[in-house]
Amino acid sequence: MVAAIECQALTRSFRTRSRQGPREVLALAGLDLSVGPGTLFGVLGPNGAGKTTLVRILTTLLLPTSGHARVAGFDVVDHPNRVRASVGFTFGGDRGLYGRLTGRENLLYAGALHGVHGRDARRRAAELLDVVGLRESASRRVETYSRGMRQRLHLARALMHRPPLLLLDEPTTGLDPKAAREVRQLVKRIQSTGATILLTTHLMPEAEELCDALAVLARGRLLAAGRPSELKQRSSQPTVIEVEVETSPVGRDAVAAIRALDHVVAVEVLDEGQRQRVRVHSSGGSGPLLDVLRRLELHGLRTVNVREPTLEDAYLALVHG
Amino acid sequence: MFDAARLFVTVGWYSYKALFIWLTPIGYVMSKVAVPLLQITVFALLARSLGLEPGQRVIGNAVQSAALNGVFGTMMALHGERNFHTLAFLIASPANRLVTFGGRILAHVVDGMIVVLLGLTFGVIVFGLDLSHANRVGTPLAFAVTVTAISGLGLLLGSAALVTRDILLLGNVAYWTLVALCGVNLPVDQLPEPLRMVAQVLPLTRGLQAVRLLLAGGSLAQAAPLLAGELLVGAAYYAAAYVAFQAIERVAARRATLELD
Amino acid sequence: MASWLRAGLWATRAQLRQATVSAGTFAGVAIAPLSILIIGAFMLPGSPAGMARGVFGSTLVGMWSTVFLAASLDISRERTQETLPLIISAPVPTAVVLIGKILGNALVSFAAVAVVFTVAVLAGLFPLVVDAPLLVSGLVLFAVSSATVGLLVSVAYVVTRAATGLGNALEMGVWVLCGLLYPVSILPGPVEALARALPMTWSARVVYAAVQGAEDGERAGTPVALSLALAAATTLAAILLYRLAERRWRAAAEPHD
Repeated sequence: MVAAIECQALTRSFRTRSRQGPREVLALAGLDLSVGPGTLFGVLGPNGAGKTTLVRILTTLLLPTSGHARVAGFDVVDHPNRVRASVGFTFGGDRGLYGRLTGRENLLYAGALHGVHGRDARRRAAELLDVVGLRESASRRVETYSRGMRQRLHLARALMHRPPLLLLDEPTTGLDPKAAREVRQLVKRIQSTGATILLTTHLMPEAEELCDALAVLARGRLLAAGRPSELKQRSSQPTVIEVEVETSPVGRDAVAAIRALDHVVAVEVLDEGQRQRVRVHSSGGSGPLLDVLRRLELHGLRTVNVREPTLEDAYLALVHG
Repeated sequence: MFDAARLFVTVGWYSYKALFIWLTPIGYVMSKVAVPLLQITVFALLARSLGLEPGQRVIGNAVQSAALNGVFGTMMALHGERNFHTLAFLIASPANRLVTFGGRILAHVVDGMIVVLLGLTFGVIVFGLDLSHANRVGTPLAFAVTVTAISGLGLLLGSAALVTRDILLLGNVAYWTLVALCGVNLPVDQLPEPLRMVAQVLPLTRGLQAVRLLLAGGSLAQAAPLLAGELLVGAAYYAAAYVAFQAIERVAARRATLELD
Repeated sequence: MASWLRAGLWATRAQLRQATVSAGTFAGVAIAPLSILIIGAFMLPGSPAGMARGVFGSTLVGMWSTVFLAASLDISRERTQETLPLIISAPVPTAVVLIGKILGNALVSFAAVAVVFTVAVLAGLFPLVVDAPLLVSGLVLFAVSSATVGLLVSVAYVVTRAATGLGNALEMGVWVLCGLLYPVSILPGPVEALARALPMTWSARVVYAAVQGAEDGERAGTPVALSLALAAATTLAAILLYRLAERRWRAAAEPHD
């Protein structure tokens, strides 16, 4: 099976001018990445990580300095037209649309540029306008659209020619929570049709909610890749099991017994008036939970909370060390 | 009085510097040098191709092209204040309005005179214009009076530029009306009566006649009535501009429309 | 091929919409031709040549100025509004889109024709036209020629910043060079040679041939053919320059993220 996206030693440098003179900026430094078909793949990273550079190379808007990038088996440098026919993309934001054209006309124009014409184009545009919730506004000029509406139109435009691969560069940036949620729901619907989606974001909850697999980039390099649950294990933060007990006090023996359990890093007992809260830090996830509960059940268990390390914890550990 | 004069010059210099500073050297050369010279060339050659003498057209277009500064320059200075949102600071200041707004035209008058000089020099070199009999005292005075009068028109249009976005329309209407009607390319009395009447209330009409008279060797005394008429017209535009500014300021304060986006 | 034609027509349609400016801005552009109409008509009262220069010269000036307004900043505008990636990344050849833009801008220029002709007719200044079909052909050729040069200017603006500084001087330069208001034979030798290399010069000749008869007994077909050939060459130059620009953008774009 041909990978949807394959990058081998992909490198891209830019020459920038600064007060100290011209200097070379390495936006991508030998990136190796593979994305299977039908995956919703997230690329995480701070500003300057190389996310947008990667997307621009995959859309043929930017040439790599060295290395290779292939989309559906076609090299982005040697076969740009084949790649262009296979990719739909959005860069998001307020720009990138013709303000003087209506929403529908923007779609039809994009369709025309990708070989989708006539009745098929009109049908496809109507279908997509429905999907993105812009049917009522389709005949209005885009310059009257809100930011959220423009973002949804961007998505619809990217889909006009039914591309097998969709590249979304920070699709919810600048959107209010409601608009952002609508976009995420749309992305999930699109994925359910079998498309491969590569999405760049620096919003952890979004990455966790949407992505089957993730890559973390920083300073043009791949730091880690895998499923969200795998990446969370990279977190330096332990799992925290917190148990509130009815009757106090929790004796030293109980605390010592819990501390002796496998993977327990630390135990804290917090006094809260009539009750006590026992906080157990575990390096083995929620593995020790049942043993902890057994050692505390004589005190009467009131509430139990397990706080797993988040993707944000893992990301921070990876990116900032 | 001295303070007012100092304010006049200060405002003029800073306004010019702040709002013209964005022009690149090449942009400056193109708009202040190339465009007037091209305009002179077009109409001089048009005249020549019809068997008419190009010299008068060279003089006419050279003097008229000072309207680039007098009209557009002045107008853009005020529009620029609006765009950069500095108008509020200006209006909220206690400085005399007549002086602060009038100070704006000073730099454009000086600039405009340089453009006229360049145009005439071009006319001498390329079209063999003979200026050997020019009245050396009267001619610069006539330039200054004419360009100042044109700037009065620019100031009036500038007040409109505070509240409208169609400044290209305003500027172009003023500029090209001057080109067509004020004796720049054809004698005013060759125009139909309605257009002749418009010419009489525009700046440049009398000033240009005075310039032509003085360049041909006429005396200042001969040109004086024309220059007086030109000054009067300019003063009228200046006064109208002042009244317009006051009115717009009041309306804008009431309706909070001063810095529309 | 049909697919390209449709894509090109869509590009024309998008361009027409993009180029549609406010009435105020258009009026600002139309005022210069009207001024020239007055000058030409009354500079030499009773002269058919003067009348022709006034009416058709001002029309041609208006057409070129309208195209210049619509076209010169076109590629820059696509860049700043970030619609250029759509064009670059489309499988349809960019040349198709660029030709579509040329057609759109050529159509826009006819707004100037409408304005000047209307005023001239109402003022009783419209001269007798010798060859109406030739006049229409000449105006169409001029519209297309202007649009090809407009596109070349537009691409030049994004390739080199120096071109942007030329601005209004470029616009008026065409008035001087291309025989819009007088025959190019009165220009000095080297300047005349430059004028003859521009497609608008030949299409302007077609317009005046329709009104005043052909210059120096030349056949009407000659300026038509030259105008078409030079317009095609200008289009090719614009496309090649655009490809060069695109290659440079893809190789040296500013860092992102």
